[in-house]
Amino acid sequence: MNRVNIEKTKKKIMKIKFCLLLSVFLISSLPSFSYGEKPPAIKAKHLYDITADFCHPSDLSVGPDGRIHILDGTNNRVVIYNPVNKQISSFKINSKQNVISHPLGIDVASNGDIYIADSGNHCIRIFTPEGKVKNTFKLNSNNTDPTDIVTDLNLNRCYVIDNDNHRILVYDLKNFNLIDTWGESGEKPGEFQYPFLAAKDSTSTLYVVDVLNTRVQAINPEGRTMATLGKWGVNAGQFYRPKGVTIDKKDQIYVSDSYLGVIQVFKRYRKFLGVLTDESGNLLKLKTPTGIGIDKTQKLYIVEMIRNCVSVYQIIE
Amino acid sequence: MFSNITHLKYKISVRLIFILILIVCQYTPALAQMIHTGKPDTAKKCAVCHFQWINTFYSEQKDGQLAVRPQNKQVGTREMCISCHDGSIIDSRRNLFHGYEHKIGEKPSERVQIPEEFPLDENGLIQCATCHSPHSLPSDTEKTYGLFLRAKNIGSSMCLICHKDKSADNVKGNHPLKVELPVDTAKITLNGGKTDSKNRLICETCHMPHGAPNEKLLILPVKDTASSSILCELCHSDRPALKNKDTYRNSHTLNTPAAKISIPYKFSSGETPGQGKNKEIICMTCHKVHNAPGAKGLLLTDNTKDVMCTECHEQQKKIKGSTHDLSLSSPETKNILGSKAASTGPCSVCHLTHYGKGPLLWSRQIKSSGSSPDALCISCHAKGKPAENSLPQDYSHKTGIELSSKMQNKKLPLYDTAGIEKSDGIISCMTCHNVHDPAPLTYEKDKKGIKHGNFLRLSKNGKTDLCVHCHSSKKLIAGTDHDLSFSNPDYLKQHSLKSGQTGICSACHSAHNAKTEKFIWSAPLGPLKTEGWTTPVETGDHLMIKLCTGCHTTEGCASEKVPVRGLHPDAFTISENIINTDHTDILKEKFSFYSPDGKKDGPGNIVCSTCHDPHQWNGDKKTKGNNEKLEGDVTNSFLRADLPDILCASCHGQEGLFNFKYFHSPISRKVKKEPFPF
Repeated sequence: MNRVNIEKTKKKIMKIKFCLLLSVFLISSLPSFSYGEKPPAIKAKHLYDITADFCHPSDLSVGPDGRIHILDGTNNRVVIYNPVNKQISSFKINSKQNVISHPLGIDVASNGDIYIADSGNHCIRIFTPEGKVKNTFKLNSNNTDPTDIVTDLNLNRCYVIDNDNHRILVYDLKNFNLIDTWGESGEKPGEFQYPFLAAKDSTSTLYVVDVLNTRVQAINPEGRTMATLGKWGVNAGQFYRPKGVTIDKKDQIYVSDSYLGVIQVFKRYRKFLGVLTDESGNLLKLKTPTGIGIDKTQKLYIVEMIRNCVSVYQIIE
Repeated sequence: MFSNITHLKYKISVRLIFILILIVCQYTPALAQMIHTGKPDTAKKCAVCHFQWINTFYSEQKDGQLAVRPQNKQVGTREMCISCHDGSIIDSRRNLFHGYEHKIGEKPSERVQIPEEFPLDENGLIQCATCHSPHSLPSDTEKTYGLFLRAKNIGSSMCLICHKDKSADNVKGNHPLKVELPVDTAKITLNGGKTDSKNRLICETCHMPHGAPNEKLLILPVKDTASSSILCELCHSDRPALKNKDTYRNSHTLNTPAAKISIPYKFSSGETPGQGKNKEIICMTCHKVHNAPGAKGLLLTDNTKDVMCTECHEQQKKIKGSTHDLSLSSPETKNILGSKAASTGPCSVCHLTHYGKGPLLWSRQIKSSGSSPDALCISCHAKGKPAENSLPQDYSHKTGIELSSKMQNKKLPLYDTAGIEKSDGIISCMTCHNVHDPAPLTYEKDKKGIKHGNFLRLSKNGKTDLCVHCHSSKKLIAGTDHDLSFSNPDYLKQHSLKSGQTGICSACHSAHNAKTEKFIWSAPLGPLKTEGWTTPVETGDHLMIKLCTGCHTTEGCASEKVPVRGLHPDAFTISENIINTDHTDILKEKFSFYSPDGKKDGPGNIVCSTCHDPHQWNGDKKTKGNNEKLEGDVTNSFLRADLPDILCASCHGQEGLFNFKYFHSPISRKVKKEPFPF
């Protein structure tokens, strides 16, 4: 009888333990703030919009001289905006007639060279700061689908986002030889589902927007995923369609969500800092924000694809 | 006891834990999701597009912090589709949401029948998902379902499921589909058009559902100033737009603004004719590719009996029912396509919009096309031709010549040899005749009900004075004795018309059927010597004398104005020797001497017209008559200016003035007594 009771008691204790563990797990999975509560706000002031007869621009990059390079790929050009004198210039990406390009991503290297990922022609196009053709590198396979490129002159390499193949290609900048390939299709850290745009911080950590995994992966130079930012959802710190990423001078990570129309800010590697609001604290809703970039003065440039413009906000410290 | 207490504690603990679990579950999406297994929210893969199935919205029924809970169930919205098709998965930016695109977010037209398999959103609006669905992928690998279409699209078959009224198979008046394209299809594909697997015409040959650069989702513009109609010409290359007016063409004028006509805002059928951006005539001015009401040729309105032509060419409408309306007056006459006038109507028997000849699009066999603007007239007004009864006889007004430098013409058209109006062109039949307007009418209607007329321009109230628009110096005859329409309205003309019914010229001149080539004279020619003339005439058969004596005889209509001395004594010939006197310039400039056949260059005779200008009563005053019959004197009487001072005195000295007084004066003619006029 005692033995039977002991067995029963043990089972009950097991159940209690299970329930307690389950409760602890569930409680720990609760968000850091409860629903109905406003998410932490990072205020920004709208300054102006840049318009230049864009047709679905996709990405932009802030150059070392502060000029904004806007990729107006459907119009086969790069538009350069000078925030000092507000002058606009442009240059053609593909000079050949009747050759349709699908450039999607742009990065201006620290030496001023302009790198463009041309997904339609499976190549990387390099231009001088003046917009002269410097070089074109055909990628190894026609199946390669480069949607963005991030250069790292310190490591003498660049990272090409191979969207359709769910991976990152690492090339040396000197000869454009393939050094490494990171990732494959999947949901685990280090795996991707349609990676799109990317950026790097001051520590050479690469941040890749992993669109259908609804997260941003932080990858160190060795190719190891150090952290993932955000997750699936429609609440603060979550993504529905993350698209663009940029990193400010304080290594804070800004991520655009094109469907939700918001910009969210994270501290490396994981901590959610807040969501961009206007000066009154109202959620800043944008129209299909895609590529984003931030300059040294904390001016945030946001491509609003369907609006065919780049909106400029001053982050209020 | 201890056992009971322990058991009680245990029970309470377990219940509390379960209550806690339930409370947690209420607020924890992950657990809620576990509990709500089987609900769509559980699959992120679905909620990737089905936004409203996100657990916050679906399970917890509340707004998210970054997005409010969707109030409708629609999935395939523009924003949803572009959120992936912006390049992050597929780059469709060239096609989506710019340029002209198929209706999205709008209600379908009443003409469209949308079956159930093409769902509209909850508000009845078309969304991307109406035509596309990732769930509709076929099990086979056929490309016919490409682009996630909800139905097979072989030869635009999917388009026609909704747009039934655009299919020639279903409704007349639509451009036929699946016709073999007569041209290299590369021209089409280069511009974004598509063909079916057999290179035949489909909807997408002309239309692009997404990212079309032109209105109506067209691959090429039909209203652009520089290139209107080039879309049609991709295939209809035998009907090229007119790029240069001087070049040969065989189609109606295109791509140029309507110059002499005005395109109405609406045709009488209620259809609106298309126009280029700058009001140019384009293919769509006459044609409608879909749902054209015209029975043939995709015309904008039914063109039986050429009624559509006159929608724009309104002035030409007057031809209907006239002798020039060959569908009535000569119904068996055929045009170059072999169509009888009875079936074509009044326009197409002479003109063809396509396949016509020359700039006026003649549909008649013309022998000398291009050499004379009158070729078309002669093609009927000739022996054995439909208008042989109206063939001008004898002498007619000259055509094919330029207007004299002395003449001024601002109203009557001149033409180039191709029949196009030109300000410095040549005189043509069409200069005086408006072939499309029978006025002034000679018969209101004959037995067949056909109107007969002279087809003269500038006709008004049955009269026309168009001669004086070129012969302007002659119009001073109006209201004088020589204007028989006033002075002798009962004078019968050779055409059985009374002078009062004609203009001021026709009593003496006739543009057709004239008796003489010179002066195209229509009045009777008189004798060389009339009764009462005391001086014999020795000038031979002199036309210039007979022109005047037709009336100025004792038998003529001007019997009261027959001079005793009809001519200058001897009516001598002015020889070269006399002309070459000191007065040569005066003689040549002011007064003319005429040869027997009426020419005034070189030697000639002093005749009536040497001293008289039959068109001007007073040589000093360029005024018309005042409709009074006047007895003249030496200052008027149709005498040329300076006659007494210069002409007579030139040869006769000052005493010639006295001779002159007695030459024609009423006194010398014993009509009146003194005093003399001077």
